[in-house]
Amino acid sequence: MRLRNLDFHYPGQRFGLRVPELSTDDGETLAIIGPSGCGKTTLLRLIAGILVPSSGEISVADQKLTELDERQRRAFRIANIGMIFQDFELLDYLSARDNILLPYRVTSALTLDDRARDRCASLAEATGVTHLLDQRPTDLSQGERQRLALCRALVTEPKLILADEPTGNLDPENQRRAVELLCDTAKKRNATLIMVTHDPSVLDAFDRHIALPDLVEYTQKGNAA
Amino acid sequence: MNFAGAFHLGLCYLRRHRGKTVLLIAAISLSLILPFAVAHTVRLAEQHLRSRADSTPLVFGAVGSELELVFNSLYFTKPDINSVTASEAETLSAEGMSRIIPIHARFSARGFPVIGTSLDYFDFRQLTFSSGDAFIRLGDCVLGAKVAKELGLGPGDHLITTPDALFDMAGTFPLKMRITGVLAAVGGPDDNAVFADTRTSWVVAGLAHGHQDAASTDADQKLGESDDGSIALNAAVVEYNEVTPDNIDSFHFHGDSADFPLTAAIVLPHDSRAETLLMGRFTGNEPSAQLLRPRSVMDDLFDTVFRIRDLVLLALGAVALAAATIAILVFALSNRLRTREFQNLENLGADPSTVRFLVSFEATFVILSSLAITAMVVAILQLTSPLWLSTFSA
Repeated sequence: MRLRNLDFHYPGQRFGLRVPELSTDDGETLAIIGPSGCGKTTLLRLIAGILVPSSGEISVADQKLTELDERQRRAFRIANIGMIFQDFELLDYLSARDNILLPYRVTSALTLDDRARDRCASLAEATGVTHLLDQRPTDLSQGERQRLALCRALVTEPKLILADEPTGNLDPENQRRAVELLCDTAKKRNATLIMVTHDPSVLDAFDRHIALPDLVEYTQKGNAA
Repeated sequence: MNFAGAFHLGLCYLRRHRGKTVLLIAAISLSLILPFAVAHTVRLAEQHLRSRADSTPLVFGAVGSELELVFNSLYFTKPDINSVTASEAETLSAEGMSRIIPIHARFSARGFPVIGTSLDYFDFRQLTFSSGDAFIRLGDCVLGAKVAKELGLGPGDHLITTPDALFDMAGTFPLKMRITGVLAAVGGPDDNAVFADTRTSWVVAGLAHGHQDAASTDADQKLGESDDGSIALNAAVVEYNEVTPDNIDSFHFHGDSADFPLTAAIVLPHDSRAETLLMGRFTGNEPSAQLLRPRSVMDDLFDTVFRIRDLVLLALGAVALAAATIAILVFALSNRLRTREFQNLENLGADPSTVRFLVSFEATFVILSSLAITAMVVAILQLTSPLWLSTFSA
């Protein structure tokens, strides 16, 4: 993943951010730390192609996202980028299995075949949730839900996993376990992991960590910050 | 769009919230079905009642409620209306302007009305026999199709009339009637009635009876003998409750049969001129009887019924509007609660069409299901109308 000279402003807002350069190697785990409101989630959404920069370049798996239109970015994202949200955002009306396979249900870019189902079973086994596959998320503990979210992010065999403070609601011990699981699983699958967090206690598990204020420049429309 | 996947997600959502879904479908279906059911029922009742009224040119009866007279003579309800005499009815046919069919619908047998009439009634209503034949002699009767089916009776069996009051010694006594035939079903009041000769109904009314021959009774049963040879008997004399070939000759009427009662008479004028002339006889200031066109009476009745129906439909329309408003509110709230879910799906990379499908799936499913249920119930109502109409008309 590589970002270069990225400029972004939310529509109608004066303040924005600029990322001169950020890159990761395949299979690397990177933590981006910063206080609430500093732009961590915005950066992740830019990397995912959900937000579009006003200028600059974003490449994931040798594909320049900035050259794709919205439909292509969406198809690329669901096939190549695994997302883990802060509250995991599992759907309570689906079973654990259907939650893991959710990317295959919501796009025509992926096909739900036996290989996908096998990957789901294999990921469930690797994360220890096989016995929970027929249960609903509301019946599971926070740690079990976190593992399901990880399985969902990995089921499409993404090159890049983006995690938006997935340990925010866990106690310190579970935070440590969750981060270790994230990093181990990403490494075993040779996927790059970028996690944003405001909690410095989890940084040791990552190959590298960057403080967001050191990475970006905050800008005001019309002036460089 | 991944239609199969989106459909699967939509169904999972509805299954998870099946209580709410079923409630919404039921509320919308009911609010659609009820106005139709009311309108359909009124329309059927109107057709049913009108068809019988339309086929009956005139009805003659005692002064009183026009509606009760029509219901007594056409549908065999309202047995307690005032009577006219047989001779009053006969006067309508005396000048050759019309033919009359007597109706004496006062009594019942095991819950079914016993109609005293003439054999002309069967021709007039185009009634045919599924078994047996018409009544032949005093004490015979013919059963409507439903009566025969419900009571499990047929030609050769007997049916006993129901006394007016069980412990009223001065009241009418039950008569054991011989069944000679069963009518073919026609889907109307004739299926639910027992038909007998007018004279048989007068026997039921206690205006005629049969008993032991007075001359051959024991001396201790004789109270006295008058100069003209008539014998007065005490209450110990055996009175027959069934007409048989052996005792039929002992049955006799007390009084002039011209004065015997009828609850109504169906009048069949030979032409429209005769009808007009007959109607003219009963337009005086204080007529002793009335001659009605059943169609006109039904028109008046349905004018009222339609006004009530319109009010009911208006009320049901308001209820349907309220149900629709609540349903829209529920859909809106439901989608609002799922905003974050839809946003996350988009962030994952879901096709916008898939998300749009999920947003509208609940409402679409509920509305289509309600319409399907409504269509099904409406079809069932229409298909089974003849069945429950015949039950209703009973």
